[in-house]
Amino acid sequence: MKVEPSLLRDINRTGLRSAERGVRHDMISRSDLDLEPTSGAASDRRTRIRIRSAREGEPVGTMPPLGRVARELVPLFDLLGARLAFERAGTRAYEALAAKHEAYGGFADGPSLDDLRQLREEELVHARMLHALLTELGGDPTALTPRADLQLVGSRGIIEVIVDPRTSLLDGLEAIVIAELADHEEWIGLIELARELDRDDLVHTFQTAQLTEELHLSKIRRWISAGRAAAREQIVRA
Amino acid sequence: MLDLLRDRGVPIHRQHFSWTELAQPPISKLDADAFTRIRVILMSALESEAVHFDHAVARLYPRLHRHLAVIRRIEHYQQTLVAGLLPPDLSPLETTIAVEQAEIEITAAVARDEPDPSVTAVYRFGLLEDVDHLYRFAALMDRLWGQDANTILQSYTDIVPGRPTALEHRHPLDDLRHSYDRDQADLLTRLHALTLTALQQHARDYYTGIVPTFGDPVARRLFAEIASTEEQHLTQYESVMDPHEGLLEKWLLHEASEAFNYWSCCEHEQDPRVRAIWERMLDYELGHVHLVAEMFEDIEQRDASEVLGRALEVPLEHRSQRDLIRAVLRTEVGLSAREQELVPREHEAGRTREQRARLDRDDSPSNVVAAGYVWGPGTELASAHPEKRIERRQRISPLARSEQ
Repeated sequence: MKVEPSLLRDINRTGLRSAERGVRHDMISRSDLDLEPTSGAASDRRTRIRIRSAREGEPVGTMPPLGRVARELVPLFDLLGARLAFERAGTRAYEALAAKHEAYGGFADGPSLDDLRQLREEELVHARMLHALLTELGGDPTALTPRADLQLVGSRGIIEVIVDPRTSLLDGLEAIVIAELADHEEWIGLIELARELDRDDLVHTFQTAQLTEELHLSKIRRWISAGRAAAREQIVRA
Repeated sequence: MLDLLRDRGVPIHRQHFSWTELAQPPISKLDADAFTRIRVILMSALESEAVHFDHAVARLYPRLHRHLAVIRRIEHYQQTLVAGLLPPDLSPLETTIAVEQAEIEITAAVARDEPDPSVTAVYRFGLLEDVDHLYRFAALMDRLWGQDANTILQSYTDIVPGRPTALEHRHPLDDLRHSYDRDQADLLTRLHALTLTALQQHARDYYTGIVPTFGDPVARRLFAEIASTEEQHLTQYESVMDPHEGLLEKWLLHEASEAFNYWSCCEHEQDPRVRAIWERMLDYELGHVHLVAEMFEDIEQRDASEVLGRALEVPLEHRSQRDLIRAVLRTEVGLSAREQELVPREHEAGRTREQRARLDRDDSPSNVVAAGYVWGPGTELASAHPEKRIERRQRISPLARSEQ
């Protein structure tokens, strides 16, 4: 296991307490300057700009060409596109987690390398299933839909935490649980939509995927808990 | 002491890198001293300036093509290596705070040591504008992400209003200053001007580059506004340099300014791994100085010691310049500029006022983002007495009241 950061202390310089007493005092006390804000009163102008820009703004993008697909099915394509993008990113995220495992090793009751590889495979199976399903339904699995785009923006930080060589396996698991939680919600949303559309075949497909993701979530929660216990033990032993 | 013509450094043919060396482990955002980060930003800026300058010269002076191609590639690798020391958890907005801190602390240190009083006045003038940029960006960081800019500044630099950014926008012709005279100017004056020019150019390039990464409309406008003032500063500091310096003379000074600044980094760096990088880069720059000095003597038929004659005895100081900055804040915040002169704001040219009115037609992003903003430890949300904060919002600096 990588050295638990809590074992290394008193080096962090970000807080006021890290500064020397005189420097800290100077930072807080600026009384001799008597400087007031140079703009004031209308502190809600920022909100007004936000609101005005939102009203004038275009969406991030539109849906790709869908041929003869019925209007009511379009949101389904957007959601499927988002899942496809997310599952592909998830596959890569588990690859990076596996590399962390190889670098630092695991911890008691944590994932084995094979566990992480299995999760990677299951994400990939979902991605391929979605690719095929989108094609079958008349969509374009190579296009980036608006929801896919926003979910990738949202998960950018998660991937950055996982691929950073300075983070531990536990850090990576704590990041990927955010993605798994979101994924869980999104599959439920897809099931609901398929029900509304009376597509029992899709309901079944999505439920199968959702069950796998639920299993991922429970495994990761368990591993995080074990990882935190291992970290505590490392601190006690040190 | 640094004797640019005596210290020979590493010859060009021995200056090599591998990809692994070019992308070394970064410094820690949390643990590294803020001045180590300032040095990384400063030296990235100087390397970037070197590459841009070398490209511009290559387009004008075919005789130097081959030498420029060789040195420029090394400068490019140096920039890659140094810039890559910044860590991935430092967001664009956090990097912006660090860039402003670098501009403030380095400009103040340069103003402290600058031997020419008229040039010093220009640096003190620019300094107060960078102080204000930091304040505006700190307000943005607090109000956009609920983050305290002092986690980056480490208490070395005040978060206070300077010369209000909204009042900094001048007509381009009011951003030109008197240049030093190359025959009279001290070597330090020439190296200082290049140092600050590089830093401002870096900020301008960085801000214009990262505008697209922000979703918030106010953030995008604020970056547009402050990038514009960085362009003004670049114009200002560039104009301080004597335009009659020849291309080779300018090239020699570029190499010298890099060496001088790497030497200053070596003298102050506490992190042994990073210090070893500065030492290596200093040796490389000294190698560049010697190659360019030989070309200068060969082509210009002048002795390089006419330009780099005297040894540099004191490195640029890398430590908090709070006292100097506060002193300048107390006395020079009401200045503006007209033509090449610094003047009280009431003597500004009509063209500057017209330009400002046009830019601020819809709103002033810097005023909007920092409306009533007073920095406090742990962000303004940590304030125990929000009602006092509101009360303070009604008290606005008399300096800006007329602009409201």
